[in-house]
Amino acid sequence: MTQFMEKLQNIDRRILFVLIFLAMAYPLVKPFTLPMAITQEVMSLYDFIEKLGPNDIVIVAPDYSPAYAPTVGGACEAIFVHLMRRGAKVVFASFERDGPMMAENVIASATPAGKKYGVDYVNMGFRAGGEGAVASALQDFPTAFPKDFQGTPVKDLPIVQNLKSAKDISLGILFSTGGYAGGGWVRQLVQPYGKPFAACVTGMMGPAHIPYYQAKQLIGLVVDMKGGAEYETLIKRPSGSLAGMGAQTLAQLLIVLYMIIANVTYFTLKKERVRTR
Amino acid sequence: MSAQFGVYMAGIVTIALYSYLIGDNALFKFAEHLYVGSAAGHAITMGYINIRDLGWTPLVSKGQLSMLIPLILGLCLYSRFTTKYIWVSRYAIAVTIGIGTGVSLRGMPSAQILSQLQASMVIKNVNDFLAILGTIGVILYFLFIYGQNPVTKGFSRIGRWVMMITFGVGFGTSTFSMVARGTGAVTAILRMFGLVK
Repeated sequence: MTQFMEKLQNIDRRILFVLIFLAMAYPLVKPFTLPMAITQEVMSLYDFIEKLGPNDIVIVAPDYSPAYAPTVGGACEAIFVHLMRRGAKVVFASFERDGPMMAENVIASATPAGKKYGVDYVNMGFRAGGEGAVASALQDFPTAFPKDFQGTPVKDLPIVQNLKSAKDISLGILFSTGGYAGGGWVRQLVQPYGKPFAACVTGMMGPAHIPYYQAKQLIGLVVDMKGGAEYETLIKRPSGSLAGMGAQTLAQLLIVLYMIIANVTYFTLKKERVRTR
Repeated sequence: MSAQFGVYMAGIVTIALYSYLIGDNALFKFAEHLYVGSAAGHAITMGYINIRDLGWTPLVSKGQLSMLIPLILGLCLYSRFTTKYIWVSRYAIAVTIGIGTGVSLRGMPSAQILSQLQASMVIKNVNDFLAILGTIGVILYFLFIYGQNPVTKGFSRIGRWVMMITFGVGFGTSTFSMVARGTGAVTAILRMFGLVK
Protein backbone atom coordinates (compact mmCIF):
# COMPACT_ATOMS: atom_id res chain seq x y z
CA MET A 1 0.00 0.00 0.00
CA THR A 2 2.76 2.43 1.00
CA GLN A 3 4.71 1.61 -2.16
CA PHE A 4 1.63 2.25 -4.28
CA MET A 5 1.05 5.59 -2.55
CA GLU A 6 4.67 6.61 -3.07
CA LYS A 7 4.41 5.70 -6.75
CA LEU A 8 1.27 7.80 -7.05
CA GLN A 9 2.93 10.73 -5.33
CA ASN A 10 5.99 10.62 -7.58
CA ILE A 11 4.16 10.09 -10.84
CA ASP A 12 5.98 11.67 -13.82
CA ARG A 13 4.45 15.07 -14.50
CA ARG A 14 4.62 14.41 -18.26
CA ILE A 15 2.10 11.60 -17.82
CA LEU A 16 -0.20 14.08 -16.07
CA PHE A 17 0.19 16.54 -18.98
CA VAL A 18 -0.56 13.83 -21.56
CA LEU A 19 -3.71 12.89 -19.63
CA ILE A 20 -4.77 16.55 -19.54
CA PHE A 21 -4.13 16.78 -23.29
CA LEU A 22 -6.31 13.70 -23.92
CA ALA A 23 -9.05 15.04 -21.61
CA MET A 24 -9.10 18.25 -23.64
CA ALA A 25 -8.76 16.61 -27.06
CA TYR A 26 -11.57 14.08 -26.75
CA PRO A 27 -14.47 16.57 -26.33
CA LEU A 28 -13.04 18.74 -29.10
CA VAL A 29 -13.01 15.80 -31.54
CA LYS A 30 -16.31 14.37 -30.28
CA PRO A 31 -18.20 17.40 -28.90
CA PHE A 32 -20.96 16.91 -26.37
CA THR A 33 -23.43 19.46 -25.11
CA LEU A 34 -23.67 20.39 -21.45
CA PRO A 35 -26.57 22.22 -19.80
CA MET A 36 -25.63 25.92 -19.65
CA ALA A 37 -27.05 28.13 -16.89
CA ILE A 38 -27.14 31.79 -17.92
CA THR A 39 -25.77 34.23 -15.37
CA GLN A 40 -27.45 37.57 -14.68
CA GLU A 41 -24.34 39.49 -15.84
CA VAL A 42 -24.48 37.92 -19.33
CA MET A 43 -28.27 38.09 -19.56
CA SER A 44 -28.33 41.82 -18.87
CA LEU A 45 -25.87 42.49 -21.74
CA TYR A 46 -27.97 40.32 -24.06
CA ASP A 47 -31.13 42.20 -23.04
CA PHE A 48 -29.45 45.55 -23.62
CA ILE A 49 -28.26 44.60 -27.12
CA GLU A 50 -31.74 43.28 -27.92
CA LYS A 51 -32.97 46.88 -27.61
CA LEU A 52 -30.40 48.30 -30.06
CA GLY A 53 -31.25 49.14 -33.65
CA PRO A 54 -29.78 50.46 -36.94
CA ASN A 55 -29.25 53.95 -35.52
CA ASP A 56 -26.98 52.73 -32.75
CA ILE A 57 -23.19 52.82 -32.96
CA VAL A 58 -21.29 50.37 -30.76
CA ILE A 59 -17.55 50.69 -30.12
CA VAL A 60 -15.94 47.30 -29.66
CA ALA A 61 -12.37 47.15 -28.34
CA PRO A 62 -10.92 43.68 -29.02
CA ASP A 63 -7.94 44.19 -26.71
CA TYR A 64 -6.74 40.60 -26.47
CA SER A 65 -3.91 38.61 -27.99
CA PRO A 66 -4.10 35.35 -30.01
CA ALA A 67 -3.07 33.33 -26.94
CA TYR A 68 -6.19 34.53 -25.14
CA ALA A 69 -8.55 34.12 -28.10
CA PRO A 70 -10.02 30.89 -26.65
CA THR A 71 -11.00 32.78 -23.47
CA VAL A 72 -12.78 35.89 -24.78
CA GLY A 73 -12.66 35.42 -28.57
CA GLY A 74 -15.82 33.27 -28.58
CA ALA A 75 -17.74 35.97 -26.72
CA CYS A 76 -16.44 38.58 -29.17
CA GLU A 77 -17.76 36.57 -32.12
CA ALA A 78 -21.11 35.89 -30.46
CA ILE A 79 -21.67 39.52 -29.46
CA PHE A 80 -20.63 40.74 -32.93
CA VAL A 81 -23.17 38.37 -34.51
CA HIS A 82 -25.87 39.57 -32.11
CA LEU A 83 -25.08 43.24 -32.88
CA MET A 84 -25.21 42.51 -36.62
CA ARG A 85 -28.57 40.77 -36.24
CA ARG A 86 -29.92 43.83 -34.44
CA GLY A 87 -28.65 46.04 -37.28
CA ALA A 88 -26.38 48.07 -34.98
CA LYS A 89 -23.21 49.62 -36.42
CA VAL A 90 -20.05 48.02 -35.05
CA VAL A 91 -16.80 50.00 -34.88
CA PHE A 92 -13.79 47.91 -33.86
CA ALA A 93 -11.20 50.20 -32.24
CA SER A 94 -8.20 48.58 -30.56
CA PHE A 95 -5.96 49.87 -27.82
CA GLU A 96 -3.74 46.79 -27.70
CA ARG A 97 -1.36 45.88 -30.55
CA ASP A 98 -2.94 42.54 -31.43
CA GLY A 99 -6.46 43.95 -31.42
CA PRO A 100 -6.79 44.68 -35.15
CA MET A 101 -5.82 41.10 -36.02
CA MET A 102 -8.34 39.77 -33.54
CA ALA A 103 -11.00 42.01 -35.07
CA GLU A 104 -10.07 40.71 -38.55
CA ASN A 105 -10.47 37.13 -37.31
CA VAL A 106 -13.89 37.86 -35.80
CA ILE A 107 -15.04 39.65 -38.98
CA ALA A 108 -13.77 36.80 -41.19
CA SER A 109 -15.48 34.07 -39.20
CA ALA A 110 -18.68 35.68 -37.98
CA THR A 111 -19.93 38.35 -40.42
CA PRO A 112 -23.49 37.47 -41.44
CA ALA A 113 -24.34 37.53 -45.16
CA GLY A 114 -25.45 40.89 -46.53
CA LYS A 115 -23.46 43.02 -44.11
CA LYS A 116 -21.04 45.47 -45.70
CA TYR A 117 -17.64 46.66 -44.54
CA GLY A 118 -17.53 50.41 -43.92
CA VAL A 119 -21.33 50.58 -43.70
CA ASP A 120 -22.33 48.01 -41.06
CA TYR A 121 -18.98 47.38 -39.43
CA VAL A 122 -15.41 48.63 -39.63
CA ASN A 123 -11.98 47.80 -38.20
CA MET A 124 -10.29 51.09 -37.25
CA GLY A 125 -7.00 49.49 -36.20
CA PHE A 126 -4.82 50.17 -33.18
CA ARG A 127 -3.90 53.31 -31.26
CA ALA A 128 -1.05 53.29 -28.76
CA GLY A 129 -1.33 54.91 -25.34
CA GLY A 130 -3.55 52.61 -23.30
CA GLU A 131 -6.06 54.49 -21.18
CA GLY A 132 -4.84 57.85 -22.52
CA ALA A 133 -5.64 56.70 -26.06
CA VAL A 134 -9.10 55.55 -24.93
CA ALA A 135 -9.75 58.99 -23.42
CA SER A 136 -8.53 60.73 -26.58
CA ALA A 137 -10.62 58.52 -28.92
CA LEU A 138 -13.75 59.08 -26.84
CA GLN A 139 -13.18 62.82 -26.91
CA ASP A 140 -12.34 63.16 -30.62
CA PHE A 141 -12.73 59.91 -32.53
CA PRO A 142 -11.76 61.05 -36.09
CA THR A 143 -8.49 62.55 -34.81
CA ALA A 144 -7.57 59.44 -32.84
CA PHE A 145 -8.53 57.14 -35.71
CA PRO A 146 -8.02 59.10 -38.98
CA LYS A 147 -7.87 55.88 -41.05
CA ASP A 148 -9.14 52.33 -40.75
CA PHE A 149 -6.88 49.28 -40.44
CA GLN A 150 -6.52 49.03 -44.24
CA GLY A 151 -5.61 52.72 -44.58
CA THR A 152 -8.99 53.99 -45.84
CA PRO A 153 -9.56 57.58 -44.63
CA VAL A 154 -12.49 58.27 -42.30
CA LYS A 155 -14.23 60.42 -44.95
CA ASP A 156 -14.65 57.31 -47.16
CA LEU A 157 -16.25 55.23 -44.40
CA PRO A 158 -20.00 55.97 -44.05
CA ILE A 159 -20.27 54.13 -40.72
CA VAL A 160 -18.06 56.64 -38.87
CA GLN A 161 -19.42 59.82 -40.48
CA ASN A 162 -21.63 60.48 -37.45
CA LEU A 163 -19.12 59.28 -34.90
CA LYS A 164 -17.39 62.35 -33.51
CA SER A 165 -17.10 61.50 -29.82
CA ALA A 166 -18.42 59.25 -27.04
CA LYS A 167 -21.67 61.23 -27.14
CA ASP A 168 -22.52 59.50 -30.44
CA ILE A 169 -22.19 55.93 -29.24
CA SER A 170 -24.87 53.75 -27.70
CA LEU A 171 -22.61 51.17 -26.10
CA GLY A 172 -18.93 50.44 -25.50
CA ILE A 173 -17.70 46.86 -25.14
CA LEU A 174 -14.21 45.93 -24.06
CA PHE A 175 -12.67 42.49 -24.56
CA SER A 176 -9.70 42.52 -22.27
CA THR A 177 -7.15 40.08 -20.93
CA GLY A 178 -5.04 42.49 -18.89
CA GLY A 179 -3.77 46.05 -18.68
CA TYR A 180 -5.99 48.92 -17.59
CA ALA A 181 -9.07 46.76 -18.34
CA GLY A 182 -12.64 47.67 -17.43
CA GLY A 183 -11.66 50.22 -14.78
CA GLY A 184 -10.08 52.44 -17.45
CA TRP A 185 -13.24 52.44 -19.55
CA VAL A 186 -15.41 53.13 -16.51
CA ARG A 187 -13.20 56.14 -15.78
CA GLN A 188 -13.14 57.41 -19.37
CA LEU A 189 -16.57 56.45 -20.75
CA VAL A 190 -19.08 55.74 -17.98
CA GLN A 191 -18.23 58.50 -15.51
CA PRO A 192 -17.63 61.47 -17.85
CA TYR A 193 -20.20 60.65 -20.57
CA GLY A 194 -22.70 58.43 -18.74
CA LYS A 195 -22.64 55.93 -21.59
CA PRO A 196 -23.42 52.21 -21.16
CA PHE A 197 -20.43 49.93 -21.05
CA ALA A 198 -19.89 46.15 -20.88
CA ALA A 199 -16.74 44.13 -20.33
CA CYS A 200 -15.68 40.67 -21.43
CA VAL A 201 -12.67 39.54 -19.43
CA THR A 202 -10.67 36.46 -18.47
CA GLY A 203 -11.54 34.33 -15.47
CA MET A 204 -8.78 35.80 -13.34
CA MET A 205 -10.06 39.34 -14.03
CA GLY A 206 -13.72 38.46 -13.49
CA PRO A 207 -13.89 38.86 -9.68
CA ALA A 208 -12.22 42.30 -9.92
CA HIS A 209 -14.96 43.47 -12.34
CA ILE A 210 -17.96 42.28 -10.34
CA PRO A 211 -17.97 45.41 -8.10
CA TYR A 212 -18.35 47.56 -11.25
CA TYR A 213 -21.35 45.48 -12.31
CA GLN A 214 -22.90 45.66 -8.85
CA ALA A 215 -22.41 49.45 -8.85
CA LYS A 216 -24.23 49.52 -12.25
CA GLN A 217 -21.13 50.94 -13.96
CA LEU A 218 -21.19 47.89 -16.23
CA ILE A 219 -24.41 46.94 -17.94
CA GLY A 220 -23.04 43.43 -18.53
CA LEU A 221 -20.09 41.25 -17.70
CA VAL A 222 -18.99 38.21 -19.71
CA VAL A 223 -16.32 36.16 -17.98
CA ASP A 224 -14.00 33.88 -19.91
CA MET A 225 -14.99 30.91 -22.06
CA LYS A 226 -17.97 30.14 -19.81
CA GLY A 227 -19.43 33.60 -20.45
CA GLY A 228 -18.83 33.15 -24.18
CA ALA A 229 -20.60 29.79 -24.08
CA GLU A 230 -23.55 31.40 -22.28
CA TYR A 231 -23.78 34.09 -24.97
CA GLU A 232 -23.56 31.50 -27.75
CA THR A 233 -26.44 29.66 -26.05
CA LEU A 234 -28.50 32.87 -25.85
CA ILE A 235 -28.08 33.73 -29.53
CA LYS A 236 -28.52 30.04 -30.50
CA ARG A 237 -25.21 29.94 -32.41
CA PRO A 238 -23.01 27.19 -30.94
CA SER A 239 -19.34 27.81 -31.71
CA GLY A 240 -15.86 27.74 -30.16
CA SER A 241 -16.78 28.56 -26.56
CA LEU A 242 -19.54 25.96 -26.26
CA ALA A 243 -17.31 23.34 -27.88
CA GLY A 244 -14.48 24.30 -25.54
CA MET A 245 -16.65 23.90 -22.42
CA GLY A 246 -16.63 20.11 -22.84
CA ALA A 247 -12.83 20.16 -22.88
CA GLN A 248 -12.82 22.61 -19.99
CA THR A 249 -15.11 20.37 -17.91
CA LEU A 250 -13.15 17.15 -18.44
CA ALA A 251 -9.81 18.90 -17.83
CA GLN A 252 -11.10 20.50 -14.62
CA LEU A 253 -12.46 17.16 -13.40
CA LEU A 254 -9.04 15.62 -14.03
CA ILE A 255 -7.32 18.47 -12.14
CA VAL A 256 -9.69 17.90 -9.19
CA LEU A 257 -8.85 14.19 -9.34
CA TYR A 258 -5.13 15.04 -9.27
CA MET A 259 -5.71 17.21 -6.21
CA ILE A 260 -7.64 14.45 -4.41
CA ILE A 261 -4.94 11.87 -5.21
CA ALA A 262 -2.19 14.26 -4.10
CA ASN A 263 -3.93 14.97 -0.79
CA VAL A 264 -4.83 11.33 -0.08
CA THR A 265 -1.26 10.15 -0.79
CA TYR A 266 0.26 12.99 1.24
CA PHE A 267 -1.82 12.37 4.34
CA THR A 268 -1.63 8.58 4.07
CA LEU A 269 2.15 8.65 3.84
CA LYS A 270 2.36 11.20 6.66
CA LYS A 271 0.25 8.95 8.87
CA GLU A 272 2.41 5.97 7.90
CA ARG A 273 5.61 7.86 8.80
CA VAL A 274 4.21 8.82 12.22
CA ARG A 275 3.13 5.20 12.86
CA THR A 276 6.52 3.69 12.00
CA ARG A 277 8.54 6.31 13.93
CA MET B 1 -3.38 28.01 -49.36
CA SER B 2 -2.40 30.73 -46.86
CA ALA B 3 -5.07 29.58 -44.39
CA GLN B 4 -3.77 26.01 -44.63
CA PHE B 5 -0.21 27.28 -44.09
CA GLY B 6 -1.40 29.11 -40.96
CA VAL B 7 -3.04 25.94 -39.62
CA TYR B 8 0.19 23.94 -40.07
CA MET B 9 2.33 26.73 -38.61
CA ALA B 10 0.09 27.00 -35.52
CA GLY B 11 0.15 23.22 -35.00
CA ILE B 12 3.90 22.78 -35.53
CA VAL B 13 4.88 25.77 -33.36
CA THR B 14 2.52 24.63 -30.57
CA ILE B 15 4.07 21.14 -30.58
CA ALA B 16 7.55 22.70 -30.67
CA LEU B 17 6.79 24.87 -27.64
CA TYR B 18 5.29 22.00 -25.65
CA SER B 19 8.34 19.86 -26.50
CA TYR B 20 9.98 21.73 -23.61
CA LEU B 21 8.19 19.26 -21.32
CA ILE B 22 10.63 16.60 -22.53
CA GLY B 23 13.54 19.00 -21.96
CA ASP B 24 15.26 21.94 -23.59
CA ASN B 25 15.79 21.15 -27.28
CA ALA B 26 16.53 22.73 -30.67
CA LEU B 27 12.88 22.62 -31.78
CA PHE B 28 11.79 24.55 -28.70
CA LYS B 29 14.60 27.09 -29.17
CA PHE B 30 13.54 27.60 -32.80
CA ALA B 31 9.90 28.20 -31.81
CA GLU B 32 10.93 30.48 -28.95
CA HIS B 33 13.10 32.65 -31.21
CA LEU B 34 10.45 32.66 -33.92
CA TYR B 35 7.88 33.87 -31.39
CA VAL B 36 10.08 36.61 -29.93
CA GLY B 37 11.17 37.76 -33.39
CA SER B 38 7.68 37.90 -34.87
CA ALA B 39 6.28 39.64 -31.75
CA ALA B 40 9.04 42.28 -31.92
CA GLY B 41 8.50 42.75 -35.65
CA HIS B 42 4.77 43.14 -35.15
CA ALA B 43 5.26 45.64 -32.31
CA ILE B 44 7.66 47.75 -34.41
CA THR B 45 5.27 47.77 -37.38
CA MET B 46 2.29 48.82 -35.27
CA GLY B 47 4.40 51.49 -33.54
CA TYR B 48 5.59 52.81 -36.91
CA ILE B 49 2.01 53.04 -38.24
CA ASN B 50 0.96 54.96 -35.11
CA ILE B 51 3.82 57.45 -35.34
CA ARG B 52 3.23 57.92 -39.09
CA ASP B 53 -0.56 58.42 -38.85
CA LEU B 54 -0.80 60.37 -35.60
CA GLY B 55 2.50 62.26 -35.50
CA TRP B 56 4.38 62.56 -38.78
CA THR B 57 1.48 62.97 -41.25
CA PRO B 58 -0.34 65.70 -39.26
CA LEU B 59 2.99 67.54 -38.88
CA VAL B 60 4.09 67.36 -42.51
CA SER B 61 0.75 67.38 -44.38
CA LYS B 62 -1.38 69.57 -42.10
CA GLY B 63 1.35 71.68 -40.52
CA GLN B 64 0.31 70.78 -36.95
CA LEU B 65 3.45 72.00 -35.19
CA SER B 66 2.20 70.76 -31.81
CA MET B 67 3.05 67.26 -33.06
CA LEU B 68 6.70 68.18 -32.67
CA ILE B 69 6.34 67.87 -28.88
CA PRO B 70 5.48 64.12 -28.75
CA LEU B 71 7.90 63.36 -31.58
CA ILE B 72 10.79 65.09 -29.80
CA LEU B 73 9.84 63.47 -26.48
CA GLY B 74 9.81 60.11 -28.26
CA LEU B 75 13.28 60.73 -29.65
CA CYS B 76 14.47 61.75 -26.17
CA LEU B 77 13.74 58.21 -24.96
CA TYR B 78 16.56 56.92 -27.17
CA SER B 79 19.09 58.94 -25.15
CA ARG B 80 18.98 56.04 -22.67
CA PHE B 81 21.49 54.31 -24.92
CA THR B 82 24.16 56.86 -23.96
CA THR B 83 25.41 57.20 -20.38
CA LYS B 84 26.24 60.90 -20.84
CA TYR B 85 22.77 62.03 -21.98
CA ILE B 86 20.58 59.49 -20.17
CA TRP B 87 19.06 62.35 -18.12
CA VAL B 88 17.29 63.63 -21.27
CA SER B 89 15.12 60.50 -21.37
CA ARG B 90 13.87 61.21 -17.84
CA TYR B 91 11.94 64.25 -19.08
CA ALA B 92 10.07 62.12 -21.62
CA ILE B 93 9.32 59.48 -19.00
CA ALA B 94 8.17 62.16 -16.52
CA VAL B 95 5.77 63.64 -19.09
CA THR B 96 4.41 60.18 -20.00
CA ILE B 97 3.84 59.23 -16.35
CA GLY B 98 2.33 62.65 -15.59
CA ILE B 99 -0.15 62.45 -18.45
CA GLY B 100 -1.00 58.82 -17.65
CA THR B 101 -1.66 59.62 -14.02
CA GLY B 102 -3.68 62.72 -14.88
CA VAL B 103 -5.87 60.84 -17.36
CA SER B 104 -6.45 57.96 -14.93
CA LEU B 105 -7.29 60.32 -12.08
CA ARG B 106 -9.93 62.02 -14.22
CA GLY B 107 -12.83 59.79 -13.23
CA MET B 108 -11.23 57.80 -10.46
CA PRO B 109 -12.84 59.40 -7.37
CA SER B 110 -16.37 58.88 -8.65
CA ALA B 111 -15.72 55.66 -10.60
CA GLN B 112 -13.72 53.74 -8.06
CA ILE B 113 -14.48 55.30 -4.70
CA LEU B 114 -17.86 57.04 -4.52
CA SER B 115 -19.86 54.69 -6.77
CA GLN B 116 -18.33 51.62 -5.12
CA LEU B 117 -19.07 52.99 -1.64
CA GLN B 118 -22.60 53.87 -2.66
CA ALA B 119 -23.20 50.39 -4.10
CA SER B 120 -21.80 48.64 -1.04
CA MET B 121 -24.12 50.56 1.30
CA VAL B 122 -27.34 49.20 -0.17
CA ILE B 123 -28.68 46.02 1.42
CA LYS B 124 -31.20 44.21 -0.75
CA ASN B 125 -30.26 40.60 -0.15
CA VAL B 126 -27.90 38.32 1.78
CA ASN B 127 -25.09 38.91 -0.73
CA ASP B 128 -25.17 42.66 -0.07
CA PHE B 129 -25.05 42.04 3.68
CA LEU B 130 -22.06 39.70 3.24
CA ALA B 131 -20.34 42.32 1.05
CA ILE B 132 -20.68 44.95 3.78
CA LEU B 133 -19.53 42.51 6.45
CA GLY B 134 -16.54 41.51 4.31
CA THR B 135 -15.62 45.13 3.55
CA ILE B 136 -15.66 46.10 7.24
CA GLY B 137 -13.74 42.95 8.15
CA VAL B 138 -10.96 43.53 5.59
CA ILE B 139 -10.65 47.21 6.57
CA LEU B 140 -10.35 46.29 10.24
CA TYR B 141 -7.80 43.58 9.43
CA PHE B 142 -5.49 46.25 8.00
CA LEU B 143 -6.28 48.90 10.60
CA PHE B 144 -3.36 49.01 12.99
CA ILE B 145 -4.10 52.39 14.62
CA TYR B 146 -6.12 50.96 17.50
CA GLY B 147 -5.22 48.00 19.63
CA GLN B 148 -7.17 44.78 19.15
CA ASN B 149 -10.28 44.34 21.26
CA PRO B 150 -12.74 41.41 21.09
CA VAL B 151 -14.96 43.24 18.55
CA THR B 152 -12.21 44.29 16.13
CA LYS B 153 -10.54 40.90 16.57
CA GLY B 154 -13.75 39.16 15.52
CA PHE B 155 -14.22 41.41 12.51
CA SER B 156 -10.59 41.12 11.40
CA ARG B 157 -10.93 37.33 11.56
CA ILE B 158 -13.93 37.63 9.22
CA GLY B 159 -11.77 39.88 7.02
CA ARG B 160 -9.03 37.26 6.90
CA TRP B 161 -11.53 34.58 5.86
CA VAL B 162 -12.99 36.87 3.21
CA MET B 163 -9.51 37.48 1.77
CA MET B 164 -8.70 33.76 1.82
CA ILE B 165 -11.93 32.97 -0.02
CA THR B 166 -11.27 35.79 -2.51
CA PHE B 167 -7.76 34.53 -3.23
CA GLY B 168 -9.18 31.02 -3.62
CA VAL B 169 -11.73 32.27 -6.13
CA GLY B 170 -8.94 34.12 -7.94
CA PHE B 171 -6.84 30.96 -8.11
CA GLY B 172 -9.80 28.89 -9.29
CA THR B 173 -10.75 31.31 -12.04
CA SER B 174 -7.07 31.59 -13.07
CA THR B 175 -6.96 27.82 -13.49
CA PHE B 176 -10.16 28.02 -15.52
CA SER B 177 -8.57 30.65 -17.75
CA MET B 178 -5.36 28.63 -18.18
CA VAL B 179 -7.33 25.55 -19.19
CA ALA B 180 -9.29 27.66 -21.69
CA ARG B 181 -6.00 28.84 -23.19
CA GLY B 182 -4.81 25.24 -23.24
CA THR B 183 -7.92 24.37 -25.24
CA GLY B 184 -6.67 26.78 -27.92
CA ALA B 185 -3.30 25.03 -28.05
CA VAL B 186 -4.91 21.58 -28.24
CA THR B 187 -7.25 22.83 -30.99
CA ALA B 188 -4.26 24.09 -33.00
CA ILE B 189 -2.64 20.64 -32.87
CA LEU B 190 -5.86 18.77 -33.65
CA ARG B 191 -6.65 21.14 -36.51
CA MET B 192 -3.31 20.38 -38.12
CA PHE B 193 -4.26 16.69 -38.26
CA GLY B 194 -7.73 17.55 -39.60
CA LEU B 195 -9.47 16.28 -36.45
CA VAL B 196 -11.35 19.54 -35.80
CA LYS B 197 -12.53 22.28 -38.14
